[in-house]
Amino acid sequence: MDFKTFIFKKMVISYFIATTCITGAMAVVGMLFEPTVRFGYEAFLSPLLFGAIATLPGLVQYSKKELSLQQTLLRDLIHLILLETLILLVLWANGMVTSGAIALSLALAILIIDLTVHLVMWINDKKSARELTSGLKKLQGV
Amino acid sequence: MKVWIKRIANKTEEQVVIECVEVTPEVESIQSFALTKGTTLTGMLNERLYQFNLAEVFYFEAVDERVFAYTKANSYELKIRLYELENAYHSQHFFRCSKSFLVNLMKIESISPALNGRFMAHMKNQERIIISRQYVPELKRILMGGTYHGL
Repeated sequence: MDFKTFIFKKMVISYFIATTCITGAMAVVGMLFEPTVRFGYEAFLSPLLFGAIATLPGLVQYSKKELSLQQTLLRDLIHLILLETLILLVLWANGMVTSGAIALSLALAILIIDLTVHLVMWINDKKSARELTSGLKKLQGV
Repeated sequence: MKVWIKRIANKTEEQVVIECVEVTPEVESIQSFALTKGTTLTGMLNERLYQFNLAEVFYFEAVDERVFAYTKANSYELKIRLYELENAYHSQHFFRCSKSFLVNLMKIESISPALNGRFMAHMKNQERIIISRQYVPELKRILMGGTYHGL
């Protein structure tokens, strides 16, 4: 896969999935820890911004050559570590991480979002595989 | 579709005639199938040359400059390059699924997802072959009749 295809196919899809998941996670974490806080319209920009930040570490998964299973798993792990570090650092720098409990909840939320992104992509691949198998059966006249 | 079988005396005059209103993908599929049935290959097994039918081949594999054809029971070494096989038999349902494999689509049982945008072809002989990410769009184009547009 060339870099342009990687950006448009993988990164853009990841961005939109991450943005949706971040919106959900912010709502849940906010309701749990700061249920009385109210925001203005600018709050709508946060998921978009954090979606972009969350998508950036995805660059470590780019490779011109096809990666082996082990290489893929290793890069996925590096990606998760970078993702957790980057988002928690940005939140901490903006004064949003005020306690260990919040940091832990956010780290957990990021992990769940990352796993959800992988799950959605796998479900999409599963759907493609079903369509391919169905096309195959048609070709074989079964 | 009606099917007739007419017995003849001479093997070299064997033929399949398809009478149709329009050449649809189904008709092309029958044509490809008939062509594979008539095609034989010669390969080396245990230092002896054997002839086998192209339709029996599950897949071709290139290993260190050598090319092998795998049938249900045997693997034959061929004196031909993988890209030459691909050029010769792509119209007969042989699909390049990775750098070193050319797989017979008629011998795939099912396809499942593998990690990182790849897919796994489950062959009818229980073997599994990886379909590389870069060949997936072409496979979708072949199997989804040109309705595939990218994502």
